Amino acid sequence: MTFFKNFTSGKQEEGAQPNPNRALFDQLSRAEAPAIRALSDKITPDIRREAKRAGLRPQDAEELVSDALFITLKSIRNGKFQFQDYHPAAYAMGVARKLISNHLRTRKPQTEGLENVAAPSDFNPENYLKNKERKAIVRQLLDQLGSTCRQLLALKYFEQLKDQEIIDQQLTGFTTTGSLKSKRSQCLKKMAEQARLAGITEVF
Amino acid sequence: MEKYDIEAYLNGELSAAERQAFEAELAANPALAKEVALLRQLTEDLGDAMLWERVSTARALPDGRAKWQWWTFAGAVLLFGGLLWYSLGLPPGKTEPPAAPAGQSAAPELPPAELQPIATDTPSTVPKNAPTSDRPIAINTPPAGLQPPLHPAPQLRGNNSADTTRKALLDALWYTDYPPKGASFTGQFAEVDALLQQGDFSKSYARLQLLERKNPTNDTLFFLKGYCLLERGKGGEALRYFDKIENETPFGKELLEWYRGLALLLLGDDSQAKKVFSVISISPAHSFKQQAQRALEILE
Repeated sequence: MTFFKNFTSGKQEEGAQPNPNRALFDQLSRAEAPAIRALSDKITPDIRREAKRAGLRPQDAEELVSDALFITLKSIRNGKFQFQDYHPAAYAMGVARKLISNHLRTRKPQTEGLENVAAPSDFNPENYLKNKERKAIVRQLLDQLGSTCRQLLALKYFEQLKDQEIIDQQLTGFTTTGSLKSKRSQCLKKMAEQARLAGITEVF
Repeated sequence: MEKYDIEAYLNGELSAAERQAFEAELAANPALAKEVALLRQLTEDLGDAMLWERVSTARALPDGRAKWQWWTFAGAVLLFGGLLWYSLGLPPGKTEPPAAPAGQSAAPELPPAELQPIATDTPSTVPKNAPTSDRPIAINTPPAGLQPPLHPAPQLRGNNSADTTRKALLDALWYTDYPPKGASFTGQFAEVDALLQQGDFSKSYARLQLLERKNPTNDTLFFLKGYCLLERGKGGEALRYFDKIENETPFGKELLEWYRGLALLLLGDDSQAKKVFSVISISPAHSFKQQAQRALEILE
């Protein structure tokens, strides 16, 4: 009866193996590099194959892999993709297929075979591609900052930590929220200056 | 109004009164409004830019699997060739590997284990009483808050000024820790464990070579060999073994991330090493966060 009990309780048996898909999903939600790499290894061969079948160049296929990984991670982080007991690669493949489909749509009027993709329903490839260039510029601006600035901006805008948490956990050399904010503000100012030097003076 | 107040405004951290005052100033000051709009866009895109960077870094991490498959194939071909040669009745002495040319290091970059000649007792490339070359030659003093390394950075080959500068850089940021927290190595690995704790990397390497022939696909072996190679200054080989590890948990994923960064530095790939260290430095609870931050400072 133990067998029956375990399955009706809905709880994982103590000492049972954790769900590997769940573990991977959790690591992806923290954007852990090894987990991203594992997902990349899982989807890359399939995406390359589908891209080739769709007539895309190899370098486009590589970019598709990065796009699919990025959108999957972002969807996990903003809660659009919640864990559903399947491997996150299924979602990432859905994203990749939509991107391939979009690519074909812009190239020729009719597409075959790739229209009926499973997931995700709320992902709009056109919007994503429109904003991609702007985000690439921000990445270049970020590359020009020193490590301290990058770290301060990362803690706030990537890890989304509160200033007090950053101070309490001694994640930087700053000991007060005032000094932390002041330095981060300087970093943002520097980034905005670099944007202006790059010819970006307004919202782009 | 100070600039950081713009950030507070963008993050919704101003009080209602402060927000109203700021918005009144915005309405009256088009230049300020323009600046706020630009900063709003930048801060909105920062998270995405960093996420994209994380994806690029993760994809750039070396993949040992493909190389391993290639080496396995190459090893099989060589083994088959060797057997064929032997079966043709050639004198056994002819099958010995050629001696290293004069002037070459006594411990050259070793090919993968699959290609190693079958060992008798101790591999000929490792002198029996030569652990001194792997011994600390100097202890660098890290800044307050950082522990000193267990062993200094490995010696680099060559003797010119570029190597000296490189060695100084490695000495300044090098940090290794053995045994990994929470890990214990017993059974067949107990002897190697003791040798590694003594810092005798030459003997450890020789023992690991023998163990690898008996047990070629073992995560503990991959970890110990990778660590040993790292301390011997062989970054590429160390990476290859670290990447073979299927389950990193017993050795500590964070430790392995840090070691991969060090291995990339040994390879001279500062750009990739910096990316690995950047990832570590922005992970709030990473055990090697401080070391990574210091490494980035030194590298920059």
